[in-house]
Amino acid sequence: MFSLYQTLSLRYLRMHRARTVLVVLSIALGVATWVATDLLNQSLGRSIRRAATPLAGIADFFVTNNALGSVDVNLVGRLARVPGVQRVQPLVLEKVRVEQAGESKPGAERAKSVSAMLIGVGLSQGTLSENGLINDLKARGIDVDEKDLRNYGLSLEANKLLPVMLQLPPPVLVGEKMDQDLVQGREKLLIHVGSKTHMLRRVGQVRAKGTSSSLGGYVLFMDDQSAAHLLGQPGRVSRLDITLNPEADKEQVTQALRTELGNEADLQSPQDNDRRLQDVLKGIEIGFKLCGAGALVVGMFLVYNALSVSVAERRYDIGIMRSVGATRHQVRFLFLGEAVLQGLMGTALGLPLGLALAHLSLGPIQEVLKGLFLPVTDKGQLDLNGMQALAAATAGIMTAVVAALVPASQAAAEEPADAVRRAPRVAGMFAWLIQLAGSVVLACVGIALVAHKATMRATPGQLFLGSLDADEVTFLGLACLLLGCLLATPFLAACLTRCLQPLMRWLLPIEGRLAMDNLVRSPGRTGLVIGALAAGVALMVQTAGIIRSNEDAFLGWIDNTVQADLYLTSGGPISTGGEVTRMDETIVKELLAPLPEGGQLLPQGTQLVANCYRYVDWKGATGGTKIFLVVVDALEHYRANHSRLPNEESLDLYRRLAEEPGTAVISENFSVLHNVQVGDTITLKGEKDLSYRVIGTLLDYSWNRGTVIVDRTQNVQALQAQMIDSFDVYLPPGSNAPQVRDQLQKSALGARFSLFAMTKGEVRHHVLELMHKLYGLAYTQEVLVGIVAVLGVVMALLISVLGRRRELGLLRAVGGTQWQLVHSVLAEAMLIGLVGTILGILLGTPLEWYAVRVVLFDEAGFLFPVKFPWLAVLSISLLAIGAATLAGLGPAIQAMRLRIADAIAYE
Amino acid sequence: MMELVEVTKVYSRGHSSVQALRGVSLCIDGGEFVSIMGPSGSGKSTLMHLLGALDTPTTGQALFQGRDLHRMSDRERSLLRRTRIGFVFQFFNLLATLKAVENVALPLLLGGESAGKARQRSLAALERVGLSHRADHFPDEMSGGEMQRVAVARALVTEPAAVICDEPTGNLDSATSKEILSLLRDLPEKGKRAVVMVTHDPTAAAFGDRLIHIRDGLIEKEEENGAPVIPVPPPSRLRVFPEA
Repeated sequence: MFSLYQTLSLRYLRMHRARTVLVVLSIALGVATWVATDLLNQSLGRSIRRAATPLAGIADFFVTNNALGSVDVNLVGRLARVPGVQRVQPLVLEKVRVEQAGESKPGAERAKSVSAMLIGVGLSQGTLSENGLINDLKARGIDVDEKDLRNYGLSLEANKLLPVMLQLPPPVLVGEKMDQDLVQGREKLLIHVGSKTHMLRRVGQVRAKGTSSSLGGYVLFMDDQSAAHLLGQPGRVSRLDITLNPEADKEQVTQALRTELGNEADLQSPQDNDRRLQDVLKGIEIGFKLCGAGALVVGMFLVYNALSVSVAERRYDIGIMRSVGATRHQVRFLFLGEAVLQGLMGTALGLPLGLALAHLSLGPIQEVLKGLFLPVTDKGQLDLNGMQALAAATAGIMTAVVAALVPASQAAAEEPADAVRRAPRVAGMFAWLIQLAGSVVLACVGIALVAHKATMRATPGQLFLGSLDADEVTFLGLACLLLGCLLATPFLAACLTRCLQPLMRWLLPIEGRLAMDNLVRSPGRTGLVIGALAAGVALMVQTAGIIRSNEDAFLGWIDNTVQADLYLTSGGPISTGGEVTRMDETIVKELLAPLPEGGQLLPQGTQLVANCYRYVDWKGATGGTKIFLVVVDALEHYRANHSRLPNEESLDLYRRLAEEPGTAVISENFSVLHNVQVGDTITLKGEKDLSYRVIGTLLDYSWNRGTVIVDRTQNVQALQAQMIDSFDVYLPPGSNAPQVRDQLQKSALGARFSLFAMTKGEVRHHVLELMHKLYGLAYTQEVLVGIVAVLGVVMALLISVLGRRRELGLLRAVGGTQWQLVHSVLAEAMLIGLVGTILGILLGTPLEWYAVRVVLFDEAGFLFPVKFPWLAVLSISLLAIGAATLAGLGPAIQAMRLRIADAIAYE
Repeated sequence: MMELVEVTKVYSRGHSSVQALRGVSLCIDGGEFVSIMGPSGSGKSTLMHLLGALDTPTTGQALFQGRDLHRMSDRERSLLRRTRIGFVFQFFNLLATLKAVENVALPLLLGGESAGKARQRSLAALERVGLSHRADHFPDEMSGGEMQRVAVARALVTEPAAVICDEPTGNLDSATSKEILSLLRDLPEKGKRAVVMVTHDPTAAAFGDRLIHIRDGLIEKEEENGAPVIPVPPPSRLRVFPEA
């Protein structure tokens, strides 16, 4: 059999090098997309987990209180006494600002500070020996030398022994990177926490590696009590990490820990944490996976196309083989073998390509996530393990084999006598019927799955086929529907080309007319390519539609509800999770105080509204997730906005928040997602359980899992809301907001706190930018699908040139110039692009409607009006038609080079 | 009108080469009907391709109305074929998606003539071959003879100076062949149009004014009205290909 492969298959593949290369490239791109999305999913998941739970180490449980932001350190002793608990490690984690070297005077003009993570661990708890601590820290990715740790301990002890007057500044171990970049050999460094400035003494170095690389290398390391003291929260820490005895009964210990904790804090396992994060990011993950699979499916259709044509071309050869004794099995395996070979070559090329693609995409994707969700600051690792490589290789080869099944069977079914005497093939109808039936079945399955999802939503926690949740069922349903439509495209394309034919005959010159006729004649050859192109266009139209619908709704929301003149944060824009540090509420006094040189930073009559933001764990109707808690100066907000939005009904809810204790306002999507209505009571975990009566809902697009708004004045203690994330600045009438912003940022106060102010217009622009970045990811993946489709166009046209060889030769014989031939091939390419684009738009529009009205509503509870993205669709159409036309260039040149005598030569 | 001077044609296939013509000289005047005969592989189709400007010689000169084809650009040769040369092929070479009248109009449409005018001229050409009633039929609705008439009409529609026919009756029955040959016989006009027909059918060849026999890439002999007139000496150009 091998010699048969060598003689027939390898020679054929060599002879049709261009086509072989295109098939291999199609598979390679599919495999590459698969590998890249898999690696990105894995790497991002890891980065996000590290960012959400930094220094996680090997803890079995975390004790946190997200609503409050901290837990009581006295819990350490209580929890350590629970049987089965091996150790409890308190951790303090908080962003602070560190002044750069050379400008150490606090408040100096133009002094700059940068954001760093202050880490406090339980050195003073006596729960760990020094060596034990070093190992524990290593497991968390903090590498510290014993000498430095001892230095730190001695400095700490010395300070405790000395009277206050003689005490030196608190010791600190500085992250290696920060030490090199900022501290540069200085012994003392200044940090800003809230509105207070502290001096610290560098006594050594730590290195943030591995799991702690998410902290970005800018870390300050201290004992937990000193850190808590610096943060102005003595006795409180950010988190407690609990490690159990290996032999302990986990269930039993969990129960005992919960009992001990009561309502004071949450007990979470790393798995719980992962689940909550996954809930937020599931949409992106599924989107990635689907796109990888989509590229492979599109590649599969193209392989099918190429092999079908190959079978048709070699029919005579097959006849001869069968005449000289080849069995049907041999013929079938010959074609399957060719597919496997091309699959192997595609996979071999696709694996490194996927790795490269993942490397290229990782940075931009992390940027988006950093802006939208969490402070993802580590560089991310992309390790392709053996299992992943094997899965990708299997996917690539199986794609080729599945695609080859039908053509190989067609080849095996050839009757030798018919094939040898070139009798016309009567079959085809059956294959068409199977294809049509397949498309109908897939579409029905898709619709049924989508419908089934609705019933699954009604029963939270219900799984389909034992493992798929409602969202996965929705995406599976949509994928089936899309695949069904893809299978049906040859029919749709045939109908559409027939409808367009009279118009094109009238519109186009003779070369174009011939191209159109050729397209009508060969739906089998071009139909699937048109389908692949249509799938790419449909996905792009859908994404453009979602962007347009989101954009309009978001801008409407911003224009109607965001009325402050400036939005003031410290370190960076509010959504950039990695940069923002919190401000002490006392900064308000400094902002409004008269300047020594006269005048004020903020004009007389400026109103400031403080906001604190928290991502709070929430067990809603659909399981665990993270919701967004906004703690706002409600009355100030009402007063500041009242004159600007006199008719805004939701504004009155802020007045009521301030006037009615124990109340909360929820976003409309919170109400939808968690089935909470006005009048219901929701409970958050503060120092104790905090219950809030819901007094109203309002439109808020801040967070896809829902937002809860409560009054800061009433909850400042209960929610520890003294530290402010942002201030809404309402300037008096006639003020020049950009001028005030510049003045503020250039001031000494601005430099000290790295104050960052955005005007309303800039916020608007910033939101749009983030949205475009997020959907830019979707576009990137869809463009890959599009590239595979365009490769398909090249292949279809190369085949077309072969099929039209005699026709093209004849055109030349009767006086057609080479350019007229080029025009004819390019016209066919353009028409493939045109038909694919029309079908894509027809398919993409309902997909957009479904995504906006059903998926987004189910996912995030946002009910956006559907807007058709005219301009984007025009651009996508031009791009698709242009790309398809360009794809025809190679085949056109090949046509141009045809020797007329050869082309019209008889058999 | 058409002249070949010491023409050779070599086809290269990888490392090997095939010599289709080994130094042929030939002159065809306007108004002549020349038949070219020879066995398979003798080089008659290559000769026809050179005469019809479908190909260029490896060495020697191929002249059409005094212009050297080798010195013409591809575009010029295309325009020449479009306006001055008509072709009739053995397998008709009609485009299946075009109606008869559209097939005939093809050279005119390629030349940018308006659809209306092209149709008018094509109908006239079809009328000339007695097929105007089948103008709006597709090739697969016609018999072999009808298709070949359409091909003849297409060859004539631009009023070319020469019509090149490659086995025009090779795919037809004897009665239809006779009809087509009669049609072709009437094409040459004194001093104007030349017709060159490649065939291996002696009956068809007898329709010509002059009969050229070709074998192994060389003109073996020429006959006029059945009598041999010119014994052709071997060409000096043969020396260029010592391996032959």
